[in-house]
Parts: sequence; C-alpha cells; structure tokens
Amino acid sequence: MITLDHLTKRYGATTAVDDLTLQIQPGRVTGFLGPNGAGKSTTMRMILGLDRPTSGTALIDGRPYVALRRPLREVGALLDANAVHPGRQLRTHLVAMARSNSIPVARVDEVLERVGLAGVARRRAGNLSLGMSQRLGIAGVLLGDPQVMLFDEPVNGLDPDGVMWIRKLLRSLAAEGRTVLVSSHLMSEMQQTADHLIVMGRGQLLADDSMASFVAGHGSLEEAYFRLTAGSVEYTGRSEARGDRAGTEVF
Amino acid sequence: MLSSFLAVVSSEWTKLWSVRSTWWCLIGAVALMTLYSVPLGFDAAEPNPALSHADQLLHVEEVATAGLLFTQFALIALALLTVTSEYASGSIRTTLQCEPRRGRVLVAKLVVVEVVALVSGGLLAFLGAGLGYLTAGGYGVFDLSAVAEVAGRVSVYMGAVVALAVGLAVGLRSTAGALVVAFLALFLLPMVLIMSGMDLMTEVSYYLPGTAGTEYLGIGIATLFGLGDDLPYDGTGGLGLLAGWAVVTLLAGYLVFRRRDA
Repeated sequence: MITLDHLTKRYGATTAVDDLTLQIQPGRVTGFLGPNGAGKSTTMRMILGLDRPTSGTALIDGRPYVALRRPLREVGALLDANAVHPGRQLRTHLVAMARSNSIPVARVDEVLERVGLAGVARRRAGNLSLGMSQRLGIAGVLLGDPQVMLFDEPVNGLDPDGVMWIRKLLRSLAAEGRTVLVSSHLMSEMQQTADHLIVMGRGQLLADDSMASFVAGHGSLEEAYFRLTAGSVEYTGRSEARGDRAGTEVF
Repeated sequence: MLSSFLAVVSSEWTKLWSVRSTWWCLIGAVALMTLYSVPLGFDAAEPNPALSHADQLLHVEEVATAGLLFTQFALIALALLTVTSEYASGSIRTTLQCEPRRGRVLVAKLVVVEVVALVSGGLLAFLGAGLGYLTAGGYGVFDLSAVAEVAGRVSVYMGAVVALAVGLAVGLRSTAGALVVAFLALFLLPMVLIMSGMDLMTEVSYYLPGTAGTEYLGIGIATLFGLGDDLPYDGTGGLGLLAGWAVVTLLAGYLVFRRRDA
C-alpha cells in the first residue's frame, strides 16, 4: 500500500503537487490520470525518493522509500523507459540492478523471458525500439518480485499486441494482491485495465474513485475525464485560451 | 549492512566494465603515455656531444611522471563518466531506485573508481618507464626500486585525483563541465597563473590542486618554472593539500547530490 499524506512539491512559485492525501490499495489496478503537468510524474518520483517533497510524506507500507533495504524487492518502478545507459547490453543492465539488491542473476533471465526480450538480451540498450525499451523497463519492475509497482505511461510505443500484453500483465499482478499504480493518457485502454482511478489536475486531487462510479452517468471514461479536467488543462489551444470574453468582444 | 553495501559496489563494478567508454579511457591512457614516453626515449638516445655521458642519461622513472601530466585526464574522464553518463542517460534514477541512500551510492562509485585508479596508475608508470628505457638506447637507466617508488607515488596521486573528479562529477553532473574544471584545476590554471608573472597570482597558484599534486609527483609545475623553492610545502605537503582538495570537493559534491532532485 502507498500512503500519501499532505504531499506537496513546489518549484519556486509553481506548485507541482498540492497537498495530496490518499492511499493506493493493494489487489487492484489504480489508474493515475491527469493532463500533462498535472503532477503525476512528480508524485511518482516523490514516492520513490528521487524528488524531495516540499512538505508531507509518501510512505510505502508505512516506510519512506529511502528507509527500504533492498528496495527493488519491495517496490518496482518504470518511470522512463529510456533511462538506461545506451551502450550497455540490456541483460547487463538488469544484472547490475539485480546485484545491487542481492537478487540472484538467474532471475534476470527469468524476467527477460517473461517480457519477451530473451532473444535480444545481448543487444545494447541504445539499439532498442521504444516498445522494447518499455519491455526492458517492465523487466526491471518485475526483477525483485515486489509487492508495490509503479508504471508511468507503460504502453507508450507498444504495438497492439504489446498493449494487450501490458493490460493482462497489470491485471494479473493486481490479482496476485500487489499494489499497482499506472499512469496513462489512453482513456479507452485505462478503462479496460484499471479498477480504481486517481485523477489529478494542476497538482491537486480531482478524483479518487472506483472506475464504475467515476464513469457512471457518462458514456465512457473519456467523457467523464474531460468533464472533470476541463478547467485543469495546462496548455490549451488558441480558441480556448482566448476564452469567452474575447469571443464576445469580437462578435 | 556491510553485505548490502558490497552489493552496491558489485553493481557499480558491473556497470563500469559493461560500457565501452571505460575501455576507451584505458586505451586512451595507454596511448597518451606511449605517445609521451617513446619520443622522449628516442630523443635521449641521440648522442649529444655537448653533454657528458652521465649528464645525458635518462632516468626513466622521470618519463613516467612527466607523461602523467597528460595521461591523467584519460583516467579522470573514466572516473567522471561513472557519474555523469548516468545523468546524461537518466539512468541515475535507476541507480537511486536500487540504492536510495545517496551517500552509499557515492562511496560505492568511489570505491570502484579508486581500485581502477590505484592499479592503472601504477601500471601506467611502469609502462612509461619501460617504453622510455626501451627507446633510449644506451642512455636509459632503469632502476627498479626508483621506478617502483615512482609507480607507488603515481598510484597514490591518481587515487587522490579521481576522488576529486568524482566530487566534481556529482556536483556538476555534466561530463564536459566536470572535465573542464578538472583540467583547469589540475593543469591549466596553475600554469597560467604562474606565467602571469604577478606575485599574487603566483602565490594563489601554489594552493591549487595541480601545483600541489605535481609537487608530490616530483615534476612540480612550480618547480618547472623555477619556483620550487618558494613553495610553502614539500612533496608530502603537496599530497596533503591535493587530498584536502579532493575531500572538500567530494563533500561539496555529496551535499549537492543529497539535496537535489534526481
């Protein structure tokens, strides 16, 4: 379980994450939605101890990430699939991760097999397609067989087979009782994958609700999402940005 | 606790040897030492009628230390890249997910880089001395104990210098930035300040890591300019000053590393 308590991150005058308090429960897929700049990635980085909160806390089963010993065995995270040294063979990349947490090297070959990269294990990470990079990132998440998993945009660059594979993978991981948090901009995909939703806009929590009740009364997740986040989009096109006032003046 | 730290060291060791840049830096170091020592040897091999035989002898341990003035930057690049290449690729985040205690990450990287610097520093000294001897014809003097003593000094010097480099790397995060600062601090700035001819500048240059470190090596930059007697320290003091710079840089780098978002 992930517990956020008044979690806040400010960069100068900008508040990227504003007083976020919520729990992400095990045993279900929690979808993490919000427009670009809503604070999803910053929240994930704070959960992982990469970014320091301005105030508040992010705990994993009651402990901050930095207090975890052998953290890969407790939390797996895919933040940026390209965050791999491009010159390193992908198997070696995983071996280095495994060594750091005293995970047997045999486990590396297991996860490579599981994500379908066993055949290209010796390839350099810089020579992978985006879809393969995503699979490598997912292999890294699975490596320590952790109970808590975070995925930031895992379906980016995957082909339809890959998208369906991720959906099944996430659902089976949650069914095993793990905590699974996944962000995505693909609404129809999210609707098929997530059981629960957290929606952010401009750093604030807009919704923390089950999929069924969030979508209820709307045609689809996409429609419900647009309704909720209409006022929270960071960048809007020219027509919207001018707003109603400009419109009434001209016409 | 120790075993978990050794696990992180083992991970860093795996990472160091699984990228080509490490090998290129070592090849570069060997090439630079060769390019320096071979011409020096051939030069010494030419009989010079103006000098007595004894004056013309080439004590090859001096070839090794002189060659190191340039060769060191290949090993410095190797040390920097263990940190800066991770910032460039974003893989520093993977590293910090594996071990979120940043002090441990820094020390693990330092341990790995120190092993490489201490070993390869000594070997490079032997390489330079050996090549100097082989090319100096009848004028080369290879005194094993003198060469071994110098190799030990080169090894210690490289150990201190790569620590400085790792400190710069975590503080600055950029390969180019850290390499430029290392080059200025260890080589260019001492030279330029002394060549300015101004007393104050010269005085300042005495306290730079390059001036101090090379004094320990035995080819002091100040000594090259005939100012060796003005230095406020001897060779051992020079090592102390260089080590002080390394420790301060590492601590400053650690503070930045600990505080800043990855």
